[in-house]
Amino acid sequence: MSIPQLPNDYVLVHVAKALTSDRRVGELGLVVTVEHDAIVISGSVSTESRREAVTAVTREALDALGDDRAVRNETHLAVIA
Amino acid sequence: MIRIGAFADVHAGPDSKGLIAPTLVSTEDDADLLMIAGDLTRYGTVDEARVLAGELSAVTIPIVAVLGNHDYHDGHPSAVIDTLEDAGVIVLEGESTVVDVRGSRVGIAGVKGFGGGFAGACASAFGEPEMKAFVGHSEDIAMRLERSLRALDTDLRIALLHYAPVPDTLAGERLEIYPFLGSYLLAEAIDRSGAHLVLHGHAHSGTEFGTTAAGVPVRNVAQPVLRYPYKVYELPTDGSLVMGSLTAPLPHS
Repeated sequence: MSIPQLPNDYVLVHVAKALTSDRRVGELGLVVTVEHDAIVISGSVSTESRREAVTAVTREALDALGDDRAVRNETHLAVIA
Repeated sequence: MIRIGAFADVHAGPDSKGLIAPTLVSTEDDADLLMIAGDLTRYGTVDEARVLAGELSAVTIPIVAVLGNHDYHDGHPSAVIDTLEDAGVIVLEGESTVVDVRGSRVGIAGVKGFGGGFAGACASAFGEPEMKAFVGHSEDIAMRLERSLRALDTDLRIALLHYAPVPDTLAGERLEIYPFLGSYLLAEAIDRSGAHLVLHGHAHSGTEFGTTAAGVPVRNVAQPVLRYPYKVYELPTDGSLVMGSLTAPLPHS
């Protein structure tokens, strides 16, 4: 694992902002945490396509910070199908 | 008995097309009215509002809605309202409406609401102009809610909000963000005026049940809380339902 360029607090905020502003996701209330060596995203999203995009948007946000830690997408759909 | 179907935070977008309508097909069997407590769209674009309008077009019972914070993001809330109203949805923003259900008059006062926090941990209109503007916005909305509730001389009186009026229904959210999730000013306006039911959304990690200080039932109907497309609340119209309100009105600020 490479050493992140930013302290975790700032990395998590950058990722959360990306998940809000990127129109593939657009969710304000997702929770971003660090567990061991992974960045974990949890909370609910409205559609399956948004749920799938969470991983890509998070990966891109981390790459922009030079952070190569793994992404774990633990989001779920808001409504039970 | 009046049956109120309710949900919030559907966050419609282009990828919602064809997904929402099937979840609402039984509303006419389950409910007399459908209420949507804000965050109708993801970013508040007209295209997103059109998607939702299309999804709601098959609903045959009256639909009453308020906007949420997401519906303001792109800066065109009036266009979102117009698009939905063209599709027959009643959108309230500091106003009220009355719907007749089998001879009973159901009054609904609707506002988006805003943040500011709750008793003991709330923002004050003090100091910088930005802070005064923040709190002033919340106060203005609460005042419009109170006026529109008081204007209702109906069998049932319902407050439809997006932001939470009480902390009860935020249980599960992080305490640090409570001031961004609602304001006690909304509950105070409701308790001054009296109401039978309050519906709100916005707090995805909150819980469904709460009450105001004066005993008005509050329900968080955000879809991530309900985990179902909508919830139905049955309200008796035989006079047995006591309207919660303060017996000693608070002085007006």
